Amino acid sequence: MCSPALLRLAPLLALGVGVCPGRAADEFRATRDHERQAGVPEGRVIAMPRWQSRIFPGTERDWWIYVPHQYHSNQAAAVMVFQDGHDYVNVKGTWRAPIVFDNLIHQGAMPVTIGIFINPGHDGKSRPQSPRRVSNRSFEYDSPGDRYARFLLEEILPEVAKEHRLTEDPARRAICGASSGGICSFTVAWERPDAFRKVLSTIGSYVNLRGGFGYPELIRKTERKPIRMFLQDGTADLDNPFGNWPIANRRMEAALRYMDYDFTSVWGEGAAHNGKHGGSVFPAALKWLWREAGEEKRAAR
Amino acid sequence: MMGSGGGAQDLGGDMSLNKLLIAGEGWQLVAENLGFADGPCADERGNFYYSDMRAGPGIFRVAADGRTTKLFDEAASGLKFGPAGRLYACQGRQKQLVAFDLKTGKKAVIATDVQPNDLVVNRKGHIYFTETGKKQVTFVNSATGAKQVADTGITAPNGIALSADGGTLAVSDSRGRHVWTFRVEADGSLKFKEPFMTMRTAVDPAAKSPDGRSPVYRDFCRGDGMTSDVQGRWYVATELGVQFFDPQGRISGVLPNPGEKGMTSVGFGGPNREYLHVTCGDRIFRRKVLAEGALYFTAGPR
Repeated sequence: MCSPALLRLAPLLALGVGVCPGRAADEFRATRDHERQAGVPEGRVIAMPRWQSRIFPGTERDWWIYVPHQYHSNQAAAVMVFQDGHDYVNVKGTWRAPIVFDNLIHQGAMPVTIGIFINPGHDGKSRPQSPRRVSNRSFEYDSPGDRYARFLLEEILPEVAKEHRLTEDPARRAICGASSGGICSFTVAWERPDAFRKVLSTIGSYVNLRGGFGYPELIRKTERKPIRMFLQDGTADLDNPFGNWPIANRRMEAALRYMDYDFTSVWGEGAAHNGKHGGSVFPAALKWLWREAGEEKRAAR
Repeated sequence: MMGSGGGAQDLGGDMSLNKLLIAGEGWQLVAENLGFADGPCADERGNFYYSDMRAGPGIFRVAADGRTTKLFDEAASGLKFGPAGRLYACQGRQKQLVAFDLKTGKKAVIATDVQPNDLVVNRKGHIYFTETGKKQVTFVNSATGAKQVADTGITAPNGIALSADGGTLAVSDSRGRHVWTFRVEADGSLKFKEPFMTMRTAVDPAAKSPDGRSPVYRDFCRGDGMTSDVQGRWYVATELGVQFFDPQGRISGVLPNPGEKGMTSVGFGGPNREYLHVTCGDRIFRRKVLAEGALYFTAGPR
C-alpha cells in the first residue's frame, strides 16, 4: 500500500509528515499542527445566522466562518469551503480546522484563508436531532450537476463577501469534504473550475448514491480541467449496496492519473469510513494543496 | 493546463484525447465582439471562413497570417466550400441556399423555398442541408438543380458533415441525444440510417428523479455544427463543448467551451487544416490539434 502512492507523496514526506499508512490501524494521530502552539495568533470563528436557501428552497442550515488573525480588508483572502462544516469547525475533533489554519497560516504554509463551514440543509419545519441527521444532505451532496456550486456561488460566498474581502481567483479557492461531502467538493470544482480549483476529498463517495460513480469515465474523456486534488481513502472503507468505496476511489485515482491531473492520494491501511485517517493527514493535505504559499515563503528566506 | 492525458496503455485504435490535444496548445482568440458567429469552414489554401449573423452581418475570411477580410455584406448560418471555388451558404431567413463565386463576387441562387440551417457539399457538387424545422435533410444536385428529400424524422437535424472519403453522412440532432449517420449512395440518396453516435448530455438539476436518487440527464445536448477529419473522427458543437467521436461512433472526448456564450459550430482551418475552430456567440476560438480537417469537396473515394 505504501508503494506507488508513496512516490507521489514525496512532497508530503519532505515536510516531515508521517502519512505513510504503514501498519496503522483505524486511528487518529494528531500532529503538532493539530495542537495550539504558543505564540501563534488565533483567528475568530463566527457562527453565522441560520441560512434559508433559495436554491434549495424550504431548507435551513447552520454555518460558521473562520477569519484568520492575519486577515486585513486591504487584501483579499483565499477561501476554503467545508461541507459538513460542523465537523471541521470543531476544535476537539479530528479536523480542528481553526487550529490547523492558525498554525499553517502562521507558518506561511497556506495563505491567509477565510474558512466557510457549512452544514447540509434540513427541512425547515423542524430542527435536526444532529447535524448528521439532516434531511437534504444526500440530495445536495451526492447529486451530479451544478446546483450545489450555484448555491455556494450565488448565496454563500456573496453573503460572506458582504463583510470580508474574498479572492476572485479560482486557484485561491479550495473546497473540502468527507464521504458525500467529498464527492460534493469534487462536483463543485468539476462543474465550476472557473470558481474553485483546489479539492480535498476524504473517503469520497464516488459510488452510486445518485450517479456519481460515473466521474472516472467523464474525467478520462474530458479535456483536463485546471483542478488540483488531494484524495484520501482507507483500505477498510465501506462496501455496501451503493458500491465499494476503496475501489471507487481507486477508479478516481486511476482516471486522474491517466489524465495527468495535479493530484496526489494517500491511503490509510485499515482506515475505515470516518475522519480519523483523513483528519491525521489534514495538515499535510493543506500544505500540499496550498504549496505555492510554502514555496513563496521558502523563496523569501 | 491543456491536458493531453496519459495514454501509455491505449490500444492502437483508441482515439483518446491525447491523440488530438497537444500539450501546451490551448484555445486562442480568433475574433471577438461579434454579433453571432457561425458557419466556420475552410478552403484548400488554408483560409478560414465564418459568418457574423448579427452585428454588421457578413461573411469573413481569416487568412493564414491572421488577417481578416470582409467578403460579403450578408450572413449565412452555414457555410461550406464546394468544387470550383464556390462558397455555398444557408440563408434560412431568405428561404434560400446560395453560392458565392469568390473570384467574381457574384451570387447564384441554388435552391429556393427551403429553410436551410447548415450544409455540406461533396466533390460531385452534391449538396446536403438540414432543414431543422421540417425535421428534414434535403439533397440538391448543383449540376442539375434537382432537389429532393433525403431524410425525414430526426427531431431537429442541425449540423451536417461527411466522412473524409465522402461515403458517410452524419447529422446532429439538436433536440435529441444522437448524431445520425447514413451511407451515401452513388446517386446521392441516403441509406442505412443509424443513431450511430450518442452525445454526452448535461444533468438537469431541476428535473425530478424517477427513483429519487438517479440523476436525470437531459435528452438533448443542443448538438449543432459538425465537422470531421481525415483520421476518421467526427466533431459536434454542443452545450457541453466540442464532443468528438471515433470512426466506430464511440465518444472520444469532450473539450469544454472556452467562451461564455453557447457554442454553435466547429470547423477546421489553417495551412494544413490543423486548427480546430469553434464559434461561441460573440467570439471564435481556435487551437492547434493533431488532426487534419476533411475537405469534402476535394475528397475522393479511397
